[in-house]
Order: sequence, then C-alpha cells, then structure tokens
Amino acid sequence: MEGEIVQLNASRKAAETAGLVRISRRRFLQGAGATAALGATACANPAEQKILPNVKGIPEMIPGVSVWYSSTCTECSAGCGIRVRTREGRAVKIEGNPNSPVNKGSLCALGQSALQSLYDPDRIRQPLKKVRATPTGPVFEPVTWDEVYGKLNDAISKSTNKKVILTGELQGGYQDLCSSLTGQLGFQQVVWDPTQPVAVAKASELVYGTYGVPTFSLDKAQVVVNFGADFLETWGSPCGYARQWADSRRSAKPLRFVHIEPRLSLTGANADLWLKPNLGSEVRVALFLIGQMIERGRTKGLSDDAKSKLTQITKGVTATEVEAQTGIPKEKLLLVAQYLSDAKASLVLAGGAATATADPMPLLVLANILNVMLGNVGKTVDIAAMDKPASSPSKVADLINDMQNGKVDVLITAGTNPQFSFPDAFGFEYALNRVGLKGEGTGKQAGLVVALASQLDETAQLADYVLPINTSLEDWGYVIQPSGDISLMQPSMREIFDTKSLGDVLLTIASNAGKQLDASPTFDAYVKSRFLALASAKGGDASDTFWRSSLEKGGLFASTGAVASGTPAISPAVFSMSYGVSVKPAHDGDLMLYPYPSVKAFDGRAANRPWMQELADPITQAVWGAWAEIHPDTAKANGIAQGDEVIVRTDNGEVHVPAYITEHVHKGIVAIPVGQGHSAYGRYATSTGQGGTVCSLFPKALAKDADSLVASGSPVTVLRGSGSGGLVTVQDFSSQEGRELARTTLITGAGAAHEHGEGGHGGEHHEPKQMYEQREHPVYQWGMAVDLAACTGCSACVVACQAENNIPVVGKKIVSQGREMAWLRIERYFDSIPTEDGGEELKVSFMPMMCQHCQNAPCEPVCPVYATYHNEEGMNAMVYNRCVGTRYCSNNCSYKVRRFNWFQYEWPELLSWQVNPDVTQRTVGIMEKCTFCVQRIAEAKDIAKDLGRLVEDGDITPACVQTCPTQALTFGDLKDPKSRVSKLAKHERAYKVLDHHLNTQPSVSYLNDIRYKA
Amino acid sequence: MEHTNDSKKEAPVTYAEVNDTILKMLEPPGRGWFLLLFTCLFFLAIGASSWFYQIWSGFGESGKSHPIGWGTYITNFVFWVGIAHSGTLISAVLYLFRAAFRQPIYRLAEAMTVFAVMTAGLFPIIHLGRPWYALWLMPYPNQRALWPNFRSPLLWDVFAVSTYFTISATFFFVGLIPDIAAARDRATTKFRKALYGVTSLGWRNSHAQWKHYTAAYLIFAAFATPLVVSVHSVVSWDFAMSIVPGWHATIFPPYFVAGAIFSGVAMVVTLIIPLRKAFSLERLITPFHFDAMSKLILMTSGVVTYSYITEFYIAWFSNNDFERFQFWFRPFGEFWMAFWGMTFCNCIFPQLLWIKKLRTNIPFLFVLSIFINIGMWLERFNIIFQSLTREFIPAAWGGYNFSWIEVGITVGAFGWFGMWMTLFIKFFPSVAIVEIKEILPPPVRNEGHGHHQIAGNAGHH
Repeated sequence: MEGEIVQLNASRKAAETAGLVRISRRRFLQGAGATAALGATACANPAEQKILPNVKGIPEMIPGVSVWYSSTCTECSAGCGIRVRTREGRAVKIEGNPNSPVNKGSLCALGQSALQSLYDPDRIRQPLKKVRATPTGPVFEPVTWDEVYGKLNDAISKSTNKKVILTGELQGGYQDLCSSLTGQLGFQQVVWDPTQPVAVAKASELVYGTYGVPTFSLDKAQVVVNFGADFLETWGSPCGYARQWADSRRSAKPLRFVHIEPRLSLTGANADLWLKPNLGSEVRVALFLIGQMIERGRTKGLSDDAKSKLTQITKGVTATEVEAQTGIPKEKLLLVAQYLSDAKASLVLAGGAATATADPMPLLVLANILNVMLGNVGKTVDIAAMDKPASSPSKVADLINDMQNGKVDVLITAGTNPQFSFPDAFGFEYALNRVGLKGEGTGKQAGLVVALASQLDETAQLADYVLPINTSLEDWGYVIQPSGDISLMQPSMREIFDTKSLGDVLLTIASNAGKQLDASPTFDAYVKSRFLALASAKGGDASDTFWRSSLEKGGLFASTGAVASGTPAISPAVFSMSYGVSVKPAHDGDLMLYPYPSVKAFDGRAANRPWMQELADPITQAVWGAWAEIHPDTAKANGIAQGDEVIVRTDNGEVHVPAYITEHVHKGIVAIPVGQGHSAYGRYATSTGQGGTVCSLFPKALAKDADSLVASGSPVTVLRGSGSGGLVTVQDFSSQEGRELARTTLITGAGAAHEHGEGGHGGEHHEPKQMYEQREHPVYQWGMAVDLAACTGCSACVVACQAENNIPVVGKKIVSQGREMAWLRIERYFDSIPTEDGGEELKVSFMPMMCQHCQNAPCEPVCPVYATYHNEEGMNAMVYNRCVGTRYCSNNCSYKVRRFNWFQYEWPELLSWQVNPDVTQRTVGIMEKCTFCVQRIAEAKDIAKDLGRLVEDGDITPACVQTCPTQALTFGDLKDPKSRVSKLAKHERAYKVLDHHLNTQPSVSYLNDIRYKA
Repeated sequence: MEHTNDSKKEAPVTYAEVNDTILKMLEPPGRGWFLLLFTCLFFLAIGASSWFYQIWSGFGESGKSHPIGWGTYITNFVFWVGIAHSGTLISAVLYLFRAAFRQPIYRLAEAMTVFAVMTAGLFPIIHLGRPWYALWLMPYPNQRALWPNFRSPLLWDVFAVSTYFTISATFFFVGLIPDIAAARDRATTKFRKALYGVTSLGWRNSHAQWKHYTAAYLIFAAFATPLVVSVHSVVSWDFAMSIVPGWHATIFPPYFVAGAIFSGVAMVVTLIIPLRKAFSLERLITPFHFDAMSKLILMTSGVVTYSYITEFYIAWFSNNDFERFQFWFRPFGEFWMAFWGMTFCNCIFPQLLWIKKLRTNIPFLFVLSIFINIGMWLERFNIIFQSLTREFIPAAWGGYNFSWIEVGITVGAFGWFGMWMTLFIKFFPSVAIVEIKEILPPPVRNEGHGHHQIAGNAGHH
C-alpha cells in the first residue's frame, strides 16, 4: 500500500513538475524517499487510490520525449497550420506548421496563446443551467448533457417560429455541418464575427466582380500603398503577409511601402512613409491618385469606357484641394503618385479601422480600381482565391429585431460573443431576453437560449443553458483555404473536462430531432470522410494511409503561391458613387472615435489569456487592458495628463480608460483598441479596470452601401476622469538619444546603391585589439542574428519565449513596478530620418532585445558565487541553484536583459498544465534570462550524438526564431563559417549593439533596418 | 574613593575628576536611558519585522526594480561603512600622528565604528534575493569544490568588511582594557563585577602590563591604519569595477574614503554633543575638540567637493555620451532634488565653518552634522540610484518604487546601532580614562589630595 502511494506521488510529481529539476536517478530516489516518509506520516487520506503501472505503455508516448500533432489555428480566419507539442499527454506549446503554405512554420502571438484558452482556468467544465440572476451576474448550476439536449429537442419540436443558430465565422467542417443543420432542422444561421473585413469583400464584388477578400502577394509588388489595412497585425493573413513583406524588404529590390492612416498602427510603423490624413478623407487621396494615374497614362487595366468615366470623376481633383481636405502636404501626395506610376507592379490595399466608418465603400472601391488600372490584378491581387466572409451585421440586426418582436423561439449561439462585440445600441441583451417572448402572456412555450461556448463569456451569461464545447486544440475539423488547400485539425489531447466537439453537439441535436446530418455518427468520422471526399478532387486517395499522412502533415497542401490571372468586372454602380468626404466632424475641432483591433486582444477573444494581457503592445508598450490614444493638443485642451483616466463618450455610451498621449494619432481622433473591458469571460479579462466596452460607443447604424458596422468616425468627447495610474507601459522612453542601438540603412530609389544612414556602422568588421586572451570554443559557438529590416515588431517571439521557458506572468501592478519577466522584449524607438527634400520623417524602430551572450560579458565577473558564467559553447549560462540574488549582474548588464524573481510566481491550476517540463521553474530571489533555449540545444546535441555526427546548421531553433513570421531571427553556430548565422554576422548591414563602446562582444548580431528615403 | 573635589570652576581637570566624571556614566541608569533604549528597541523591532516580512513575502517588497537592482539597502550599507570610518581614523591614524584632540572623542568614535560595521554588515545580507544562502559568499571548503568568484568586487567586500570588523573590534577592545579595570574596581553589583572581571583580562596596572599594552596598541594602530584606506576603497570598487555610467570611475576609492571620513566625523559630532550634555562632560570635551573636528569636517568637505567637480569634469572630458548624459541627468534630470540636496549639505553648508565662532557653536555643529549625515546618505543614493536609472539602453530606463519595508529596515538599522550605543555607554567608559589622563598635568605627591591617585586610580583595589 505504502509503495503504491509512493508510486502515485512520485510519478505525478515527475509528470507535473519534472521541470523543477532535471531529475537524476539519485534525485528521484531522494524524492521518492521523502515522499514515502511523508506518506507514512501523513494523516489518513480518505480518498486514497490504488494505481497500476502502465506496463505496456502507450505506443507513441515515451516519457520525456515530445509528441507533435499537426492541426490548424482557428484564432483568426487566416487558417495557419500549427504543430502542437505534447509531453506525457499534455499540450505544452503551439508552433507553426512548416508544411502550411500560409504561415510556413511561423505563428503569431495570438495563435500561440490559444494554449491558454485550452488551459483557461475559468473554462466551463460541464453543462450549466441558469438558475437565477443576481445583481453580480447570473448563477449557474451543473446539469447533464441529456437534460439540455432534452430541453432543446423539446423546444425545437414545439417551435412555431424561427429557430436561429448564431455563430462565429465557422471554418470548413463546422460550417458544412451547420449548413446541413439549417437545411434539415429549419434553423436559420446568422454569422457574427467582428474581425471580418466584410466591406472589403463587398468592394471586391463591385470592382472585381466577386464577393470576397482577394489574396494579395506583397512580395511581387514594388510599391505598396495602404489605406489603413493592418496586414502585419490582424488583417487578412498576418503571418503570411508579414512574411511576404519581409522577404521583399530584405531582397535586393525592397518594396516601397506607403501607409495612409490617421493613427500610427504597427503596420504603419513599418512603412517608409506614413501619412496622417483626416479620418474619412482618405477617399480623396485615392481619387487624386486615380487622377494622377490617368494623367500619367497608367490606365492599362481599364476599359476605355471606365477610363473616360473616371476621367470625368477625377476632373478638378487637384493636389492643393486634396491637401486642404486631407491635411497631407501636396508634395507627399505627388510623391506617392510618382511611386505608383513608376512601379511596374504595385499593390493598393484598403481596410482596417480606417474603413470601418459610416461610408467606407468609396475608398475601398477606389483602392480596387487603382489595382485594376495599374494592372495589379493577376500580378499582386489574386481575385480567384477569395476568402468569403459570411459575417453579416445586418443579419444580426434583423435577428435582434426578430427576437424583440418575439419571432424567435430557439436561439443557439456558438463561438461568437455578440453581447460583447456587437454594438450595445442595437439592444442584443434586451432582444435575447425576449426569445419566444419567454412565454410572457402569450400562453406559448417559453423560448430557449442555449450557448455553445468554452468560456462563460457575456453572451453565454445570457443563455438559459450553456453547453461546454471543446477548444480548438481538443477538436477535429478542417479549414479550406482560399487557395484550395485543406488544412486539418486534430485534437492534441483529450478533453480535459466534460466538453464535446461543436460538431458532435450539432450532430446530436439533429439526431435527437430525428434527422441525420451525415452518415458519419461522430464528428471525427465526419471530418475524415469529408476530407477524403474533398481531397479526392485534388489528387488524394481514399486510403487510410493517405488520411494518416495528411494528418501528420497537417492537411493537403498543393498551392504554389502563384497568382491566378483574373478579369475584373467593374460594376457600373461605382461610377455613380459619391467620392466626397462624407465622414467628417460636425464642427472643426470635434473629435471622432477610432477603434482598432490590436495584436494583444484582437477582438476580445484573447482577453483572458495572461500572456496576451502582459504582452506589451508594440506601439504603446502598454500592458494589461486598453487605453485611449489622444493627441497632445486634445489632452491639453481637456487637462489630461499621461495615464489619467479619461471618459470617452459618444451619444451611445461611455468608456473609462487611461489616456495614452501621443503625437502619432491624428488630432481629430481618439483611438482605442477593442477587445478589453469584459464584464465576464474570466478572471484576467475582467480585471483590467476598464469601464465599458468600446462597442458600447458605436451607433445603431450600418455603413452606407455595405453590410458593416459603423465603428470609426462617431462624434466623441473626451473628459478627464477621476483616477490615474491605469496605464502601465514597459518602456517609458522612446528616443534612442542618438545612441545607435537600432540602426537604419537609408536607401534611395529601388535598386539604388545602399547608403549608410544614421547608424552608419553597418558592415564595420574591425577586430579591436584585446587586452586579454580570448575565449576558446572547442566545438560550437552559438550565436544569433536579428534582421531589423525584417522585424515588424509583431511580438510573436515574445509569447513564444514566454511559453517555451515557463516565464511567469506577473500582473499589472508588478509590471508597473518595472518587474516584468519577459526574457525577450521588443524595444520600440521613435526617431527621425532625413528626407530627400531636407525635411524629416518619423522613423519607428523595433528591436528584439534578448541576452546578447557576450564573449566579454559584464555580468560574469561581478557574480560573487559563479551563478552566471561563460560556457565553452560561447553562451552566458545561468545556474539558478547557485544564485543568491545580489542582482549585481543585472546592474552591470549593459543590455538590461536579466530578470529577477521578485516574488514566487505560480500559475493557477490548469494554466500550470502548460509548463514546459524541459525548463526549470525558477524560485523567488534569483536571476534569470534568455538561455538561447538551451534545452533545445541539449536536445539537438543528443540527437546528433545518436546519429554520430555534430549538430548541423538548422538542427537547433530557439522558440523565438521558430515562431518569427518574417524569419527576422536566425540561430546557429558562429564557429561554422558556412552556417547562416555566420554569414549574417558578416553581412554588410551587420553590427553589434554597444560593442564599439563597451567591447562586450555580443553573440547576437543585428542587421540594419532598411528605409527608403522619402 | 574618598575623593572630594574642592577645586573652583576654572581649575584644571584632575585625574580624580576624570575618573569620577567618566565612571559616573556607568552608574545605574535613569529613566532617560531606558526611554532611549526602548526607543532603539522599538525601531529595531520595526526593522526586524520588516525584514521578516520581506523574506516571507518576497524580495519585491523592497523598492528595487528592473533596472534598479540596488537601492536603499546598498545605500545604507555604504552609508554605515562610511560612518564606521572615522572611528579608526580618529583612534588609529590620529594616534600615530599624536593629534591631541583625539583623546576625549576616540572611544566613542571607536564604539561607533564597531557598531556601524555591525550595522553595515547586515545590509549586504538583507539585500540578497536569497539571504539564507549568504554563506555561499564565504570561501569555505566543500565537497563540490565550489569556490566563490574571486574576481567579484562583492567578494572583496566580504573580506574587506569582515577584516575591518575584526581589527576595529580588537583594537577597540584592547583600548578598553585599562578602563574596564578601573570600572571593575568601582563595580558594586555582582553582574558588573563579573562582567568587568572577565573583560578586563586580569589587568592589574603593572608596569609590565603597561609596557606590553602600549606596544600592542601601537601595533594595532599601525595595523588598522591601512584598513581606513582599504575598506572604503574596496567598497567603492563595488561600483568602480562595473561598467555602469556614473559608477565606472577611477576616482572612486579616494573619493569614497574622503566621504567616509567626512560622514564619520559628522556622526561623531552628532553622537557626542548629546552625550556630552547628558553626562556633563563639558570639562573633558571642550571647544578645542569641537574646533578640531570642525576643521577636519571642513577639510574633508573640501575633498568631497573637489571629487564631485572632478567627476563632472571627467564625464565631460571622456567624450563618452553615456557618462555625459548621466552627469547631465543628476543635476537636471528627474531626481535633481537628491543631487542639489547633497550639494547643499556636503559642499555649501559646511563652508560656514570657515567662521571661527561657528566652529565652537555647539547647537550649530549639531545641526550641521545632521545635515552632513543626510547629505552623505544622499551622495550614496545619487551614485547608486541615479546611475542605475539611466544606463545604456533608453528602452530599459526606469524608476524606483517607494516601499515602507525599506523605510522600516532603514529605521531598524538606526535602532540596531542605537541599541548598541545605548548599552555601551552604560556598561563601558565611553571616554578613555587612561588617555585623557595622558594629556593632563600629572598630579604631584605634595600637591595634596590627588596624591594617592597617581599610582592608584585605575589599578586601585
């Protein structure tokens, strides 16, 4: 008996917290002995359990060895392929699937954080029934699946009115099944996903002839002019577009990128030229550009008829007039026109927050027309591969209307949170409470609202019953890409709780009602049969071998990335549209609202993931919660100081957020990231201190000619609130002070010779004389290269590092004390660079900063106990056990990359399941820092040893390098002259930070950023 | 002792008076003494509970942050080591130079030294993330063959401070022996008899003993003298050996030593003024002594001021942007008050001592000495804190978090120091009987009542 307890404890310890120490046999026996002693002396445990060793073992599971499952990310609709690393049955990390042509092995911050949705400590663990409402929120009670199914079946069978399933933007398998459900059971499907660029899709219909968002190829363009589409952050396929952008930027002929948006977004920060128009006046810029293209004879893509009509429309649009309307200097306007007309291939994009106004269509249409006339369709714009968003605010509005009028009996919500993300002004909550009129005085059966959700979000809180569905990492499915590729989803681990796949729930609902949606009894079988059927059209076979190999690969990937030619069909309607400035403040000086999705919270779905909350926003560097970006003039006029609480008010509601005062928003707007201010959804989401959601500010209106919401442009006032201190940023100083940390190479026209910019030291490879004997590295010398020209600042690496290395999340208060723990940070600097005409333009630099593993490390000699030392592979190693915590190493670190454990940080249960067992968890009072993912180095060396060879270039990929969407990071052996990192370290743009001042000899080389001189 | 003092006010101090005045201090304490002791113990309790809370809750309870790894605790450490300086300077160096003004003050200065080192020594441990492993800084043999890093200035600190403590404590004790014997001879209670009996090491006032004693004292004085220079030099290397702009400066060792003497003398003045008042030592500690200490303060203030100017000059001369920025930041940056406060206290205010009247103005000196103590604390704070807030990478610039725990521990340190001082003045002679007598005209046999004390006082039994 005693022995069994020991077994249980010891093995559980080993499985759960093997990360604490690398358990040696001796240590294991010590632990087992100690546990035995504890077991022998412990008080009687009434729940004593017998366990049996698994003599045969699970075939594919070897303790200590990772098992990887390919799947598909469902966080946004890009459909990136992912690989989930599991250890002893638990998912511990998500990485990009290199087989997927969408993301080519990379993964953004949001995608990686899906793991914290799986391990959300506030997940719904079993079916729930609402028993009563209280002022602090409804009270739910656990029930059985059968009870809810029974209620639902009852309601469906008795329903005489509409039955509606309100879903998010469902992908592939779910959507197919949902379509069957609506067909067979008479359900109506309404789709609501706030992130879908539905207006863009509509504009495609008007100009290209097909509804949908085309696939773009930035890497094939020489000039990209972008009206607000944040393609490096949340728009379209961020990983894929970032990769294309970066591939071009570091090529011999980098694309020139002009960004036109009233707010400096992360995407805009990466532009060569950022122009700050009045919100709503962008359409005039587009019109001016069309006029210029006609003037300059760049109308090849247009029919004569279209050309003459456009000539008519653009008549009299002069640079002076447009300057007055937009606030953009006419020299810059002409410059952009020049860029576009000179480029053989270009790309004009429009989207994002700038096109979420009451009248977005004119701008979107003109952007498409520019693509047509410049001949970009078929070159950089693929109108054959369209993503067709189904989300429809107008249908949601209709649904709300129907519910209000008692026309809906049964409402099922699945994977969408309209109570949070749909404007309050439409009255979703009120309407939902009138589903079936709840039997009020009608003598009818009360209506039924069932939420299918993983988290008890605002919408689920309103439901009568909540059915817990699997998160994407526990579920089957497939996603069909615009390119035709099919990406498969498979569970990486079994359900943690009593949850079911959304697909299975739909199948069961139908079968209970006596219908069969598909021949497959379960969703996994359905996915398999559908996939094989779809694949057979693309050369797959129906064999089990093919199925298995597809699962291993992650799907069926056959697309080549080539842009299909297409013939746009411009609708005559576009020639009768009004291209004036319709969105503008009622009075001069009035403010307009400008909400935008951020890489941190996206539309709000990442709000309960501590990694994402503590991730520093790349532009503002703020953590935990949202903020309002306010121009200094506005702040001055309203007596607002940095960090003061402000009340942002529209006719429809108000939001209390801290102020972030910045010159990088247009004077006329107040920009707020959406996705925060949850009233439900979990402990992290509700603890940000924000009062009200941004969506509560939106009017009850739909955009003109488009099925999209009016988010931007509402008249808004900003008042000083009562508090302050809600704004916590991890970087308080934005200037480099001329210290040449992040350097830039300025280039003039495409293909022109490189010219050294402010950095000027790129390509300097002098070997300074050293006073002391230099270190020897017998076998390897690990090093890294960071290409600033490719880094967009997206911060995916930061989350990867956090996930891989068990870096604690410490919370807003501790971050405000300057004690965040991230080993890797993205430094963001605002500096200026000269322009051709002698002026100055803003230059934003993003600089990933991690331990530089200096060969002359200042941290090493000062440690009194050798807790940090230099190893023979050129790394600055850290012995946690030996550290006494003098913090001298941190003081002496010139790069300030060491992090101290000020407190004992622990994950709450469930989030603690994510901990990487290969990495030691640190305790209070010790120093830690980037190790170049030494556990991966050790693993690669082990494998190489088994193979009887040395580690080769590419064997080792630290987490940050692995996930980087733009491959800005490269890791390898500096001793091997042929390794990629060696070559990059000798690149003409390469330099080492502070090395020429301090002779620290970092192992990390940076490559100058590249900017066109505007 | 059937001594009766019939001398007039202006009469010269006699041997007997010395004995009476000094040993009177050891008489059973009054209410004031207990009040003082309990105040100190109360402060100590605040400090101890703050420290325990910090250990229990996590080091984050202190105000440190990223990038400011060192703050109040190291400031306190340097401050107390600095205080500890003047004791040895006054007792050893001035002894070797035969400076006459040292006699009445050196005992107190030595006591202050020992207790200040005892206080200072706590801070490196308090400031550790894992104080329970402080032992690892010691080079002790172990089966892992793991030694500390002899290149680290923090390890030099361990040696420097522990050596200084050992030597100054020994020197202090040796100096005490004849006086303890004198106290022993007058002891009335059992406890005191036992205490003095043991600690006087059988001192019988014999010629041979005096001969050995004087030789030993000279040797210890010679031995302690280099330590005056070495300890604070080593402490300054904690900073100078780093590459932090504002720390990395070759001027630091002499600059720190001068500052230490400056602050130490000021602390002696702070302590001795109330003591002199409380125990009516006016005839032993006279304006002459204050005048001499004032001159020492004025001189060291000049050295410190010169060091400050040199720092700025070198920062400019180095043409190093990081240094220049740091030295621009100190007077004109966010924390300019700390810099200008220091400048006023250490450089400007002491200049009033050029006025002779003020050098012997006791209330003025007391106020001045408090200001200098504050100024010297600020100096260390400026060096440590201001340098760390603005290092190489602007993205990592940061600030400090005010913390009550640090205040508690700082207060506790004064309580700890005060407790030892308070106990000391009641249990041991705080003014050296023997050495005072050395500077008095020796009583002559035929001059009357003093006669049996010539041979007698200390050794009398």
